[in-house]
Amino acid sequence: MPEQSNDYRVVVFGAGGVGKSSLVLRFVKGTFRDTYIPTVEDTYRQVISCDKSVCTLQITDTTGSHQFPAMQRLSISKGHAFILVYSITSKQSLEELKPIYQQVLAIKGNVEAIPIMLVGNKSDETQREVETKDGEAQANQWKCAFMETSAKTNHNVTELFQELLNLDKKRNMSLNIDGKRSGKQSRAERLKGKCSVM
Amino acid sequence: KLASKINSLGGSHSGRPPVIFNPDFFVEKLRHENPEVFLELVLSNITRLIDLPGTEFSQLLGEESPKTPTGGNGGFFRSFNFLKRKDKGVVFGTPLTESCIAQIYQLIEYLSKNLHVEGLFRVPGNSIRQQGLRELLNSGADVDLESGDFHPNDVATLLKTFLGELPEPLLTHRHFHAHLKIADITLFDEHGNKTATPNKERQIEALQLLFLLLPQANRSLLKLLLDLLYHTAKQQDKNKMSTFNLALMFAPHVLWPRHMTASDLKDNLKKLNNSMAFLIKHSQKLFRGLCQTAFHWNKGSADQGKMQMT
Repeated sequence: MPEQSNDYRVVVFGAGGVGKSSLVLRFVKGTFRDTYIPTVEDTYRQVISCDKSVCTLQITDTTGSHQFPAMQRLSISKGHAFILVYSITSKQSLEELKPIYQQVLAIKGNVEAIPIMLVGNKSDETQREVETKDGEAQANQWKCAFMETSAKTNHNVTELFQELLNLDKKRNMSLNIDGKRSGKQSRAERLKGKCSVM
Repeated sequence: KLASKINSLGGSHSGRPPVIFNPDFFVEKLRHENPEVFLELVLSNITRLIDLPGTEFSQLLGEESPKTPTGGNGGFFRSFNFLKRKDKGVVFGTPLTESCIAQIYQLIEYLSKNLHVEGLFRVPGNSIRQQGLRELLNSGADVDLESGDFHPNDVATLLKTFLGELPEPLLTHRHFHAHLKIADITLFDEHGNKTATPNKERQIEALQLLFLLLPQANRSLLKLLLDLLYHTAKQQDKNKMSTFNLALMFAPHVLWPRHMTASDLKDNLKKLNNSMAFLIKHSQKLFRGLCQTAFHWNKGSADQGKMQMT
């Protein structure tokens, strides 16, 4: 596998239409498109700071609409950290994360050292099917972190990625690379309070 | 243009016994009575439209096992998948047969009445219910899909799963390179230089011919599937599934060589998605009036003698 050392690979999973691409695009490009286009698979790269040096944050935006077990296993085995996205407007989309979580568990063995964030996206929507506490309960059960986001209104998006990086205890990573790390980190510390990290 | 060909065909037979004006009839007749001539005729017409070098040509004939463009780690996944396959039923995960299609047709028929559902073929539905439905279909049962036990998203996803678990993509490995070539058929400008504009008419013609070489079961299911997707796209104001969105959902099952991932396909990915969209968009022309061209071409050629003898 090339560039094994210097890449930090984040994989985004979730059912079709929950907003995986919207979250990633909001984070990477700062934009939001209200279009309805499925993803095949896209990878985005961004330089971040890591242990007083820099590394590449590689975000893989997967498809939510195909069942290619081999492809999924490959993404999981290559990934360092995982974002599991559902839509708060669909109980079913949370259900569909269960087999993916099980798959991560099966491949990684012990998930406690693996940064995983359960994300309830579309928090701006009013037709809610999944209460915040239900998302939290699921995260508790999975011993992972939890956040609600809105790619549309840019709620908690940067925080999501920074928090995910903070969950990795083996590396000291920050989205900022221009030396202003302290400010950013204290902000992340503050957010940690809201985050149910088990 | 095609009509004039039919007319000229009729004209040339004017002094003979009445001609049946259904070109498909002759195609089918020839296919059954003289498969070798049929194959030769179809191939000679395909190679008139696309350039197939030796290996790709013998691949189309199944004489050489297909080489996928990047090779890669297919072998590994093939063996891995084989080990992972749990439930070998009568419908799922077996080579395509007419009886599989009969079972799967229940899904297609149900979906054709539920085309309005938002994100149809995109939103995955419930995997537990899908497992149940899958077992029912495998057991050979007639399933009452109208009972309300299943959501259209379950049914749509299971249809994709079925295609994905076929040992080959629906359009077969053999035809993979031919499809890449068909995607490259473009118009020429007045100086005879290749342009970037696709020559749709010739692409349709080439696809009509290529589909004649598909195994009958593949051809039947392809037609059913493309019809379904064509009508799904017609309701995109409700279901948000445009032809292109549907193409993204189905290209992996219908066109991609098995065990290749999006990143293996690299530059071909976009081409294959566009090809799939083309198939959906022109589905109503691809199986109809097939090969008037081939028939026309045959007229006056050395093959004519053989045709008349049949």
